[in-house]
Amino acid sequence: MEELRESFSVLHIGAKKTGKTTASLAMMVDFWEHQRKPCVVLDLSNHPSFDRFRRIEIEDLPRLDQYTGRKYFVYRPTDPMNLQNEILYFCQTLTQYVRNTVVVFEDFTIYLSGNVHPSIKNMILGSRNACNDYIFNVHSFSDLGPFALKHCEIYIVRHTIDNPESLTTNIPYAVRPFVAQAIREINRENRTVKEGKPRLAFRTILKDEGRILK
Amino acid sequence: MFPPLTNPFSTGSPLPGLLGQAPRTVQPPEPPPVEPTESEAVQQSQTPLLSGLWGSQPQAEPERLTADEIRARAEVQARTYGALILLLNAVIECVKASMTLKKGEYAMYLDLKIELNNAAKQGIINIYESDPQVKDIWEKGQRFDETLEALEDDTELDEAEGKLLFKAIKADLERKNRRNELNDDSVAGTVLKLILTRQMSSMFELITLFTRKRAARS
Repeated sequence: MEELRESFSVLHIGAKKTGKTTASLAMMVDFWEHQRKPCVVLDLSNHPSFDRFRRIEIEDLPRLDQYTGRKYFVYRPTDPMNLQNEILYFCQTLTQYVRNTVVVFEDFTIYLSGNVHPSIKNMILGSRNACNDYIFNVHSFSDLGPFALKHCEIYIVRHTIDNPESLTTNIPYAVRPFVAQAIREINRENRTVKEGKPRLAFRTILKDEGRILK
Repeated sequence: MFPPLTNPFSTGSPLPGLLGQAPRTVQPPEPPPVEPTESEAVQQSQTPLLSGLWGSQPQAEPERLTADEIRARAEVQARTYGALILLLNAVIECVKASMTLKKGEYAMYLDLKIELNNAAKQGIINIYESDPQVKDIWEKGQRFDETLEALEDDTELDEAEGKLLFKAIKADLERKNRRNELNDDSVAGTVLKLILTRQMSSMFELITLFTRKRAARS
């Protein structure tokens, strides 16, 4: 019998202008083209790259299969005074009703720092059972609390402010050497980039397998 | 959905090879029931004053269509599907009509028509009767013109019919909107219906015009 791929959660870490959003678009195309998984973006920064995605409300999440055509969706919270509640409701709905879907959390740094809310913890822990793939776009390792670093299976590392010689202890001990190695390699690669140009080098670390993807 | 990636520095997806395997999937849970919209909720909460006397709770009735609405919807459906069949039929008829004429015959017929008009002004009629070959061209050309004119007449939509169809399509859209069923597909469907029902006459005119021009050229 053919072995099936288990879903995973990805921490996509990089400073601004390092290609996180562009790579997220490429990953979404791959997920839809190769895996036929609908893609939803939780867009907290109104990024113009997602302007042409189909706009949905939280109430539409349990019914994504009713839409026809290519399934790229975006949810943009509408009430700035109630932002946190809307995001928690979004995560709660995902956990409860959404299955076999890819969700990209654009600019999600503040929700994964410090003590992560139980709704978000539940969502990350339940991702495998729900067969959902999650991609969290964040800015640096030092911003993240231990929970996300411990429970995400893949790190995609880009240029960050983190120092490879003194990484945050929130990163699980066994993975720290790989993260340090990845950051050193990325820094070396980015040195050749001219001033003002985007620094797009990246490394993909498979945390559970303890290796950097070549 | 969105423009292709054009960043010259893009190195593609950072998950190469990981997505080659088919994903494991699970059965999604039943979605929650759709909450009634404000107007539906108000409608449902209004109970008749005498309901207590009969000891029964009023049931929320499904939305009923008026007889006119049903007729209009049926007309829209018939027109939409019928229009497609008629269009196909018109193309076939035009091809068949074109095949009855040999190369240059229609151009000769048109010249003959002009000549006949000029002759009629001078009081001469039936100049072709004496020559059987000219008579044949004249008759063929006339048959060709009549076939195309009949096609155009068959598909003309009068103003009142057009208004009725437009009303039915609009009512259908409004109902979908009330039930929160409106999405891109229904809008695309409506546009298609409108094009097929309202612009059908123009489409037929285009087909027949093209057939005439082609026959006159060859």
